Amino acid sequence: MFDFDFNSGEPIYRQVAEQIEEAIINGSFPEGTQIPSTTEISNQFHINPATVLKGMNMLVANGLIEKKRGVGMFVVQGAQETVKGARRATFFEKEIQTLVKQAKSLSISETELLKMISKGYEQ
Amino acid sequence: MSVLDVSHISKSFGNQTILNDVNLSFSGNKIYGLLGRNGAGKSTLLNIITNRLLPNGGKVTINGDTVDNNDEALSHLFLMSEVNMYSNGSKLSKIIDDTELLYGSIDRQLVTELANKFELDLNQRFGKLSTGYRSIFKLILALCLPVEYVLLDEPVLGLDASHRELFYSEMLKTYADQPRNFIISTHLIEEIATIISDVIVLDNGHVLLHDTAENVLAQSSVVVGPKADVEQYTQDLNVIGKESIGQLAAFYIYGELNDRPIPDTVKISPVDLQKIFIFLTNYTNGGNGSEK
Amino acid sequence: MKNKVVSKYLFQKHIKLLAVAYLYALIILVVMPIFFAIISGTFGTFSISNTIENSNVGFITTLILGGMALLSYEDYKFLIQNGISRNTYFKNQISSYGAIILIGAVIDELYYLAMHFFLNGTNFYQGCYSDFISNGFLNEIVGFCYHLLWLVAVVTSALAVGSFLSLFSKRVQRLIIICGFVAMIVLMGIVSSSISTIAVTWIDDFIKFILGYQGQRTVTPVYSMLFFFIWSVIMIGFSHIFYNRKQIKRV
Repeated sequence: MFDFDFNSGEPIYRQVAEQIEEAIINGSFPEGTQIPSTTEISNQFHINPATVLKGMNMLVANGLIEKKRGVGMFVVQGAQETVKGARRATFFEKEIQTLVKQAKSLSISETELLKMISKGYEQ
Repeated sequence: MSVLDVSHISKSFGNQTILNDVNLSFSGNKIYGLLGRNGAGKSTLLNIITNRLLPNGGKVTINGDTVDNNDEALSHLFLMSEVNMYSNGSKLSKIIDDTELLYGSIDRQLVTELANKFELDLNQRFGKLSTGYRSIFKLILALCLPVEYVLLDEPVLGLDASHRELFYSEMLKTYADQPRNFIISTHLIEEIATIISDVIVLDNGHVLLHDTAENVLAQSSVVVGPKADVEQYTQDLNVIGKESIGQLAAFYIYGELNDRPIPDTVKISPVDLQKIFIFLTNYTNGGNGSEK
Repeated sequence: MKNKVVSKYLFQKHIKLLAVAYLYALIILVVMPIFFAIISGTFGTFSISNTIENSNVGFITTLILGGMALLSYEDYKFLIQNGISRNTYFKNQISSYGAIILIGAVIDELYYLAMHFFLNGTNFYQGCYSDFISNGFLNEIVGFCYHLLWLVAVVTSALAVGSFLSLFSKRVQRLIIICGFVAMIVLMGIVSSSISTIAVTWIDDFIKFILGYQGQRTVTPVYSMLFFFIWSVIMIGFSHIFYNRKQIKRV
């Protein structure tokens, strides 16, 4: 399920948020359904509950999940689209720039790279 | 809110100083990681907090009341350590009864539940248990008592991987059910890195670092790239450790990075707690030290 | 605030120990001789009443209580593990032993009375001070108090010595015990080899005074009792100091 990398040094609460986002994108946590509680995630992955809560609060602030009193956290309607939108917005600087940088270091030309991308879409 | 204060604690054995003016404060139902190399004074500190050892100077208080010779303050503490405080001839069930008598209560249901999960037969005598099961028994007591401060000194000593996993899960479960302060001293930093919210590093008898785990991680980074570029970039930064292979260098930084533009050739990444700890407490390989 | 539970814990533990120790004493001093008499075929000439009369229960009680009071580190470890302070341990150790001593003294008294009436035996007090008070009943009460104070003096001494030793590591403990023995033997050697010197006369006089000698026989137990009392108070004082310095040894 979740795939944490505790040795990466990446803040754990951000990893928690990212992993839940990932599960929302791929449909593991469908819109309108309840997601695991802070305690469940804390117990299963040995993460301090305060850290898990911080990650969840990030998602609440971003309008992806909402708290229903006495029940738990639920994925809001339209969350999947929101996450996708947010990821699209950072896609260029997060993914493309790295990709181009690596391509350059391997002396792959722009045309070649574009060709590869087209090929990737065809598969 | 309950506060445990350690102020100006010093302790020496003979002419060997173990702790030197240690000041710490614990509160807010957090999980503290007490880290330090062997002989840094972790166990001594925990034993002084629980009044098992008497300090040469300074005092430990809970909400302002000293723990020294004070049953009321001591009843808020439980220290689980490697030292065996139970007599070998006692049955586990009898120890549980006596512990309940002296602490006033114990969560019997949880004791039974945990004993089942760890497959611990409570009709055995303490002396018959293996090192691992002694730890398990003491951990069960630690989790089931109504104390505000649970002090664990090398809690998973002798436990196999699956029992360690089980312990961390159960600990977090009781923590969620009943938030209280945990102070965990261990050298297995990786295992508790995500569990703790606060980090205390003891080094040579004094407190080297006391901050939230998040701040410590945020303060730390590693600069990797060609040696010359890395050296150039990290010139006035607080370099706590260096690694290099050939011309490739990795400099570990603790503290703020500067505003200087980052050269294309170097990459800056976060560092995990274990690495930070190793470099902070390793003087021979420190800022101006030699390289591997 | 924890006094009640701590005294309960200690008393339960001590009373159990006491019972087990008496049981062992009974087995060693009565059951085993009978057993050996049976297997060696001398049961016909074996006298149970003799065996009982020769079993000095007062002495056995003294040994048991003294031995028990020597050991305090185990209880200390368990109590401090459970948040009980050294001071609370000390206070309740004293009160628990108070109760245990009373029980031991009552047992000794019952044994003495039974032996006295059925076998015409005697004990130390009656042997020395049978004329102290002419009323036999009152004198027996004083005798009981005498034995009680004796036990208190022994137990408090054992508490002091035991808690003193528990401040040290096992190795140092052994060293102290050996040195103590050597010192005692040397001292006794000096005393016995110079029997006519003034110092020994002084010691001799002092012991006679404590025992209540007047002329050639013991007359009054009052000085002994006073001595036991003062001795006990001093030993309790020492114990208190040592108990308050108790620490966990290996960290």
